[in-house]
Amino acid sequence: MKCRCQKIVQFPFASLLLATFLLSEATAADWQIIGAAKTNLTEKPLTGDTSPALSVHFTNAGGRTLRRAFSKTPAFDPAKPHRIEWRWRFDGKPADFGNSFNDRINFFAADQPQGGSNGNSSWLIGISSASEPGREVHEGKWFFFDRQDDGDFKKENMVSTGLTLVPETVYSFSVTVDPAGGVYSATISDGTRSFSEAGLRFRNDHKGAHPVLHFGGSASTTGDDHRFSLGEIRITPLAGGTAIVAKQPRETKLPKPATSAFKETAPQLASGSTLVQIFENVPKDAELDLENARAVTEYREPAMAFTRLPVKYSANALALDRSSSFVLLARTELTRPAGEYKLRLRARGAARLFLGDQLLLSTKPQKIASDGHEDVPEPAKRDVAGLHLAHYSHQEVTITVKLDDSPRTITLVALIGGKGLVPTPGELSVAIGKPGEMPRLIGASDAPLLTDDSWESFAAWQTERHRLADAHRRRESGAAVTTEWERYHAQVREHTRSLPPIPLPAVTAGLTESNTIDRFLNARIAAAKAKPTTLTDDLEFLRRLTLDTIGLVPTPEDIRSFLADAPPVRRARAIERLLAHPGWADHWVSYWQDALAENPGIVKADLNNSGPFRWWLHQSFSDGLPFDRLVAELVQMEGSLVQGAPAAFRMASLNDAPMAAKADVLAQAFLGEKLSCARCHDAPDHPHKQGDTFSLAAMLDGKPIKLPSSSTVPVVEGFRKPKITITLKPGQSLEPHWPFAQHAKPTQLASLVPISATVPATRSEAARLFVTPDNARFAKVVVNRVWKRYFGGGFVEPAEDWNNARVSHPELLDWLAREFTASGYDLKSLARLIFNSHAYQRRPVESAWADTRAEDRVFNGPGRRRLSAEQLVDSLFLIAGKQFDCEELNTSPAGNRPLDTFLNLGVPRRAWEFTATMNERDRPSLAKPVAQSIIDVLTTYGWRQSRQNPTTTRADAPSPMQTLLLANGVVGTRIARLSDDSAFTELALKTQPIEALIADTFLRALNRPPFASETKSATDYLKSSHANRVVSGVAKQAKKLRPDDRIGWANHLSSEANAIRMEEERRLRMGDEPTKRLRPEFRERYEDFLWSLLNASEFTFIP
Amino acid sequence: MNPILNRREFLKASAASAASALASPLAGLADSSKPVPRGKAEACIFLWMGGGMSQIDTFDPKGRGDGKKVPGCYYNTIGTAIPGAKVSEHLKQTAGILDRCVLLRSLSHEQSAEHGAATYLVHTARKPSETVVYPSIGSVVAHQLGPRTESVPPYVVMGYPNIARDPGFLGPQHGYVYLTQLETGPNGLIRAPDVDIARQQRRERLIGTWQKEFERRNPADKAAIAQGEISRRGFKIAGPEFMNVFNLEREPKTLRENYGGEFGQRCLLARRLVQSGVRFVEVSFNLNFINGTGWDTHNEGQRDQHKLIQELDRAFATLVLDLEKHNLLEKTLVVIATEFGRPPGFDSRGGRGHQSQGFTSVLAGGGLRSGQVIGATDDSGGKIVEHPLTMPDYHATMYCALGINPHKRLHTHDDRPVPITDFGRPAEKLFT
Repeated sequence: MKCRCQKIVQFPFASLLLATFLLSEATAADWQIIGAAKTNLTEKPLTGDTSPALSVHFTNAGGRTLRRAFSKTPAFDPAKPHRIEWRWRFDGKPADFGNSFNDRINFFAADQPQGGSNGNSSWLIGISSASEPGREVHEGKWFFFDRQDDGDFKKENMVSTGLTLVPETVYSFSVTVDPAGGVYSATISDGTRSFSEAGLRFRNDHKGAHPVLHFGGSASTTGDDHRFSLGEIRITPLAGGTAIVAKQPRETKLPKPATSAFKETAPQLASGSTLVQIFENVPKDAELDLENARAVTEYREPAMAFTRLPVKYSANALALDRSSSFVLLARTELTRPAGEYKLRLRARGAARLFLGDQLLLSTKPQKIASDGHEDVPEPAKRDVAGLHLAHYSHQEVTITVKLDDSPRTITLVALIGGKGLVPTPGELSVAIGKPGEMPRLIGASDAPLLTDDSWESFAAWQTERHRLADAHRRRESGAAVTTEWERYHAQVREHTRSLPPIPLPAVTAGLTESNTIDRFLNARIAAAKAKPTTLTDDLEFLRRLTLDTIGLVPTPEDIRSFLADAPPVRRARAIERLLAHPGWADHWVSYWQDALAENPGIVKADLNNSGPFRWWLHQSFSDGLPFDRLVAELVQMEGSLVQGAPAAFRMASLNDAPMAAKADVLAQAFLGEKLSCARCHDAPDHPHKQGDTFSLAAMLDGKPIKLPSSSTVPVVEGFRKPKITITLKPGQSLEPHWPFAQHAKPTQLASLVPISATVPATRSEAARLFVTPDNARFAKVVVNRVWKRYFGGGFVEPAEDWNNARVSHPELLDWLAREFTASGYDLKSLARLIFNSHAYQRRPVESAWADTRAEDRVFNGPGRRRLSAEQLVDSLFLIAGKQFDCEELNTSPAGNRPLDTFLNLGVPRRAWEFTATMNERDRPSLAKPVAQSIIDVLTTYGWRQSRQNPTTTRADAPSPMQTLLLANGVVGTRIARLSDDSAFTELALKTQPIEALIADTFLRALNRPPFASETKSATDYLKSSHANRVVSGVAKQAKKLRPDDRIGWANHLSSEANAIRMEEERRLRMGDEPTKRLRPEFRERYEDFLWSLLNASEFTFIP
Repeated sequence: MNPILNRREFLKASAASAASALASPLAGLADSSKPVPRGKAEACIFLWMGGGMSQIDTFDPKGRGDGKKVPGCYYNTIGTAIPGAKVSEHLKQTAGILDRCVLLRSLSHEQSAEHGAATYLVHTARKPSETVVYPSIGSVVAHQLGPRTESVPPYVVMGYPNIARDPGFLGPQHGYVYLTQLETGPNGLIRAPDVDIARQQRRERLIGTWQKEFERRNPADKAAIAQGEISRRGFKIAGPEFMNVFNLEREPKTLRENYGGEFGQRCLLARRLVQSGVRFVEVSFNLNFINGTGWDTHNEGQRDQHKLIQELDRAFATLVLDLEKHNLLEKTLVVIATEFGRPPGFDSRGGRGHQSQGFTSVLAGGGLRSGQVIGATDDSGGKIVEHPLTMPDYHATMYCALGINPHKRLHTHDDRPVPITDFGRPAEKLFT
């Protein structure tokens, strides 16, 4: 029959002589992807081709296929004999194509579209890296499938070609198909060797047309890099006639079929006993029919209780929405000593609980709220003393069962979300206990009890675990994109090395130089005959550095660790420690919220609101995203809107031209081009025309924009013409066009910036032009912003508007911009340079740099700065050791109003998490008293609760109201009050001499020891009551009053709801309950002392 | 620099009243040098009827409706001290003193859907913009007139903080002090309950000690010195004199009874605040405990609306007469304001929806030529037929009453000129 031996023939690949004509160029719609993939056209065609290849990068584990159907045309009839030829190259990681059966590559044809290779294919060529039980293959060798008696994957059915998989090698394939005969022949060549075989039988043994071609494979692990390039596909009818040459799609956007699923691997959560699966797009009424459904997410929990679910991430680690409603299935094995048990199911919506196959409990679907007229519900009755009660929106159903001691399977199926409902689990839980006894959550025998404290710690622990798991999952699912950026930054480094070096000035004698920054600054200081300020002392430096890195003052523990380091290395070590601190992310979020006008509205957002992209900002800084990547993602605006991915940046509620607004935000933030004066007419004092704003807006939108009539100044008959010029007419259409050619052009280097394949081309093009290293302005604007933040003044002012700007230190700015670019736009690297300079470590000059023109600034020291609103509030609470104890920023705690009109911003832990409470209706029931008390301080100190426009400089000049509010208001009172949860209470109770207490207090509050005169004044004030300050035998009060979570939109019209909130307001005014462990006389005096330290000016300054 | 025109408002103004816009001498570009009419007010009490006060059930009633199919006023109508002008029967006291008042019956804007957006619009006379964050009328008044004395905050709100009341680009120093409950007093001004005057003085002495040390160690530090100065000023504001303003027990019992419930007491406090030098007091109608929905009388909210109206009636009439008695009425502009009105027809459960083109505001005092009606709606009450007043016009009228030029240009921190109103035309008939 056929020769089964390997033939290795050496000959160059022969070119075909048949006439071939270009008949069709593939368009995006011709190809389909099964699996998660990114594609783009390569630079160069594969050897021998004339047009670029398609580079394909799948990121999912499991089957991956790129498929295309070739339909019958006058030129080509798939039922007639034909030859298919193509070239292909492996571009991925050989290590990833490892020792697993599931690391496979296959090319095949089928009569129907397939997800992956299976029995239903005609010809099949492939390579599999390893065998598995029941499937012995020619490991690591290309094969041709040749059906013998069946279609199984085994050596008998596979002809080994002898060729292995070599990266960077262009393979040429040729398949000659005889559809009527059900056989084919194939040839593979790697350019030097080739192998051919004929008479191979179709795997499925079906004769006839198989016009759907598949190119893909399978991967054993998510993130396996099996990148490949697929060249032109040439199909030649053997009976003669013209061939089809299918070039690769010009557009890089390839649509996915609706049913594709991205299966994640289980994140590394704490190993536990409950398996959890989430199924999306489950058809209605099929929620229990999950046998054949594929879980989108799978993980484990230690107990059957859910306050949070894993976030789903895209291939570039952006949060994605799940389907509007989805199904959670949790299953565990339960073993208990024989006896009677009460099972307790709590769910907001529809859920079912099974014991084995038997349905035990079910709850009803949740209803959407009507408009605010509900009553405040009665607190539910506890059937066990001390039982934690879930939010009233939850149903609770119980059943008593008799169990023997054999293991039983418990299954929970719950429907989460749906139209008008929030896609969160609430307090979904199942608990078990002996009747009358405190139940435990279903899990191990020591699973948490269902008490208030226990539930609270479980929920906190679950939140923490999930945060870590989410970060891990981002790394996993985004690994390929991260690698892509790393490769790109290697090229950026190459590129900057090739640029002419920036000359450094000569060393200035007599002035200290710690690094190159000082070299530049000293030259100017000497030329201006200015004097550098003196160096800060170590504690001043630590306070400043800690505020500048993590937005908080250092704690006494931080101070002790700092001082424990040897003096010569102390500061450098502190810099490294703080750069690695998670607070780095918190402190940067505040800055970019202002500059990017992050402005979510938590109730019916109708005031030029954006979505809550604060979460993505925080995640990006936490994950150490290079800054150019951050900006590129921001510009591309993908992901989930309500979960705060960059898509949330796209939103501008009730704005007549949101993309024009965003064009201005981006131009100010990253190019120093202020387009705001060119929104409704040409800018009067800037070179911008209104067309510039709208051309960029069109780029962001991905299509031409029509100028809205409300965005233009009308010239009305009979009125005087306006003095400003207007070059556009209402209704005029503007094409996408980059208006800043002076900063960036579409160069070769720009085309290397990794972009998303699923975003309109002009938008990703805009992303490239913003961040390409060829855009020198970008790096300089960012460097200037960072410099300004740390020095209190920039090289250029205003930082967001460089029109006609004069630069104070042009060479230093260029040098820093070059360093920043070469580092891969690493903000920490830039910050490190700045913090390590001698200049940064000096004492401030005597005024703010803001009072000097930018070009006159000498930077002989940093400028005098005050704490920002966030630094102030966060530091006060940190010092007192207190939590905000604030309400959840969620006006619909019942979860029965849609997320896009009722956002939930969670319980704030840092000041940047606050937002306006949106109580235009003036109702106590819609107020959040604790949050409001903190928001009041923040706004008085210049924080914006509503950021309709981008700003760089805040209006935060000192004012009498700031003093007053801090001195008398709720926050000041809480911080100074010696309650049982105050760190100062513990300090006061410590057995130590009064001088030590005073020193500790100064260290905690002002991060320095007191001067002798200060010790004297404080001692005089406290000594009379100090000696017998402690009240013995009194326990610490653990109980804290929580905001009533029954109040929300559903009952905001109820008088009772109003009364409850008003009572909370009154209680809040009283301040936190004072401790009983100290005598009132001493306690009040110590509070006065504390209060005075925090309200004196020194606290509000950055040293 | 050239004036930046608010295209949206301008366009609406042109569209809504093309004829009068072209004819009026103030039409065309704002020129802050042209003379504007002036009233005599030095302070403003801005009574905020949140939710959308139904003009057809209060100050602009038409024929009798039945709460079902027949549109019209839900109540009977009565005559007033303004010949020819009628109000609904639950405004008896106000009817009697309407000669001190002016009815603006033709207010108009386009935001009838969202309370938040409409509230913002009526407070700032603009829609939210991403290029300029506009200040509220209270902030502009505080900014332009300034505090009378150092120890009195110029802008006080009795209600909740919200973006509509905020100072926008004028900055937080032109923001407001607010209180939500009369008993607790304004947050920040009033000392914590456990700090009496003696304790406060001890605290201030301690601060003084640290402050002196700090300034001694930083003698040339301008910022430190400025901060110290500002702090000292801050402590002066919450002095005992100003704190006594909040003590309503000092007022005669009968007067307090005349004012009526919570809202009335707030109005009394507003009078005292104005007397002490506050320039702008916004008093939010206390919606709670009276009829659930407050002025937003959809569906069943309509049923007990008369209680709200009666509460307003007592408080407002008493306030006007009280101011008059204290010789303050001419120097105080009193405003009844709301975010929109309500249509003459009823919804399926007997209440009313929103109507933003054709609603009413009431002015009193301020040295205006009172006893007038400006603007009119048609017989059904659903359409404006005379002298429409846009939000800029409405604001311009109030600013002029307070002696503030509505075309004067304010400046943002990046030097962009923003006129106080966008071509607002004050109702000339109100001024001498």
